[in-house]
Amino acid sequence: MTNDERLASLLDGTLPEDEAREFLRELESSRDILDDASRVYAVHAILGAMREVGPLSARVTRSVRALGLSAHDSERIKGAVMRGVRRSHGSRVRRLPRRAAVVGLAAAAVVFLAMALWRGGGDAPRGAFTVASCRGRVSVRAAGERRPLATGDGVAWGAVLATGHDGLVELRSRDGVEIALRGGSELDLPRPGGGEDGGRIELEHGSVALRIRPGSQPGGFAVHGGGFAATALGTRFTVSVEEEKTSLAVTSGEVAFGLPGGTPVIVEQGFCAEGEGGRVATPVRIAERLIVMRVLEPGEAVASAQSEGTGSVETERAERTDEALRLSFALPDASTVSIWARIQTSPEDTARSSVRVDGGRPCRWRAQDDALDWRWAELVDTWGNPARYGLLAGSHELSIEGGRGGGLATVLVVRDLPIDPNEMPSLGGTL
Amino acid sequence: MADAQRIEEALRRVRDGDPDAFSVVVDETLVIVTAYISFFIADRSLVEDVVQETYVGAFQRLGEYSLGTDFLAWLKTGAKMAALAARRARQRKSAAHERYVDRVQHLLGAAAGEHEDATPVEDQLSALRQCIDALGQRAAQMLSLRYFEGLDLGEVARRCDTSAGAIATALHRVRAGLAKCIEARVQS
Repeated sequence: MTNDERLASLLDGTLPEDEAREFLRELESSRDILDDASRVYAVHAILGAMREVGPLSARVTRSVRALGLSAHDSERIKGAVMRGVRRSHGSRVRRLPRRAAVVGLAAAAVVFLAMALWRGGGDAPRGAFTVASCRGRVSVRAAGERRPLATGDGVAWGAVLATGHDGLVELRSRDGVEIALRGGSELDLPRPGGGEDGGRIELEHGSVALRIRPGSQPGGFAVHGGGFAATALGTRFTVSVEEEKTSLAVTSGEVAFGLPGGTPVIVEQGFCAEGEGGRVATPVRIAERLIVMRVLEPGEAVASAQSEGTGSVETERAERTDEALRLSFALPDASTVSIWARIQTSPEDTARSSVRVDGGRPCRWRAQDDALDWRWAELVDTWGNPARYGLLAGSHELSIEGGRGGGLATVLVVRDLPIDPNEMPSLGGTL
Repeated sequence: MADAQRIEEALRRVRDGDPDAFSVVVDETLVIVTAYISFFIADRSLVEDVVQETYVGAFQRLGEYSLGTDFLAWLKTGAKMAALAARRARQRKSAAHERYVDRVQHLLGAAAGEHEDATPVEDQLSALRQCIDALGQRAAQMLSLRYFEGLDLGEVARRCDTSAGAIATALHRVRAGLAKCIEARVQS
């Protein structure tokens, strides 16, 4: 097949998988071929969109109305819209059947906690967890109903938690287990089984950070995710399931990570590992996935990258003008990156900030609740969703404009690793 | 082409307590948003789901939009995020044998999205309409049957009294021709 024939087949839905693989290789090897094909692809996409938008328009309008609003509720609507946040109504229009279907898929990743102290956890009381903190869109589905979740609520076994992209919820159990469910995640809390299985949580997608208070679980616990298993004792670590990959990052203690029943790989503190396609890749230092750029005093055009205990030091370039701070960094490989900044600034200042990667669309640091506290703030888009960049190997530029009323100490670029630096004491303390 | 002034007026009405005015916003932007999302997602039914999510999300976050700025750009930002999230969810469910086709579509969609930065989809859409008007009768008929009436290749072939293979080839030529036409019109 020629590339034209492959493209035609793709658009007609008849492209065989082996030809798709060859086509992919061709597209990746030549920017010209990719550009030409993508323009035809865009025509196909636009033509598809032009077809009968009437029914779709009616569906969208119905969905908006299904938010529970009507012209008769004008005062309530006005207040709600002006606040810009109506989590409780938003949950009504979620397509629960689709969610439920996803839950049933074997491909969905499973995080499995077997806590020795929770043997016989079937006796665990309702409200096995307490919500220690909650922000953004967070909901819980229990007993067939979905409702917003708030700090102080109890969460019983059998519930399903979901976070919007701007959401974060932290749960604590009486037995020294802390769970932080991050944005864009869904977590089931099935009732604990008996025997050695103990308690169990299932991460369908997204990312969850776990902290087990040392000594609180002397029998240890096992974590299963995406077909892989991890066993830990008195530790802090993060498991995430994205697409076909299960990622593990260990910030304290040790975790054994591998296929259930197989020989695990020991992942030590400060290391991360990925499980994909039935195998676990050799763990690498978390620091190798980080580019840390320290911004010194105002006016000093200096930034450097150094992570504690890694031995790896990279120097990056920085340029500061009255209008903007520009930081350059180099990626050794094509990566999906998230960007964080250690800041101490007010929500108003963060709202005024404009941060761009390679001159792209403006984003901003996520606003903090307490302007006096130094925190790692993630770069988010105008919708509050975490900004993710698929960047090629080589040099890239980060420009930061406006919002300079507070402090900016460090910028952190995280490659292919869903970690929250706020949960990494070594990062927070040394940088 | 979206009427920015009409959109802004409708948004003011929504903020003043008339949620039904949001339907004006939907009507003005729906084709553009649908086309934009289609860059990233090939499956039509999933596109419609994401379109729905986009508008619901926009309505919920309307308080974050600054009137008088670029609503369409703001809306497209949300649309892209929703599309990429939906695509990731879809990938998790895909069978292994579908993955190369999916990756090709993603690569082409991402490249189309890059072009969109230089030539907004609304401009591409406007140019495409003019280019379709300039098509010959047979090409226009094929295009209409395939895209606007949603017929499969076999049915299009039957109605055009030819083979499905011939229709596939001809349609691809039409699409490629339209792509060049759009580029020429945008540049001019």
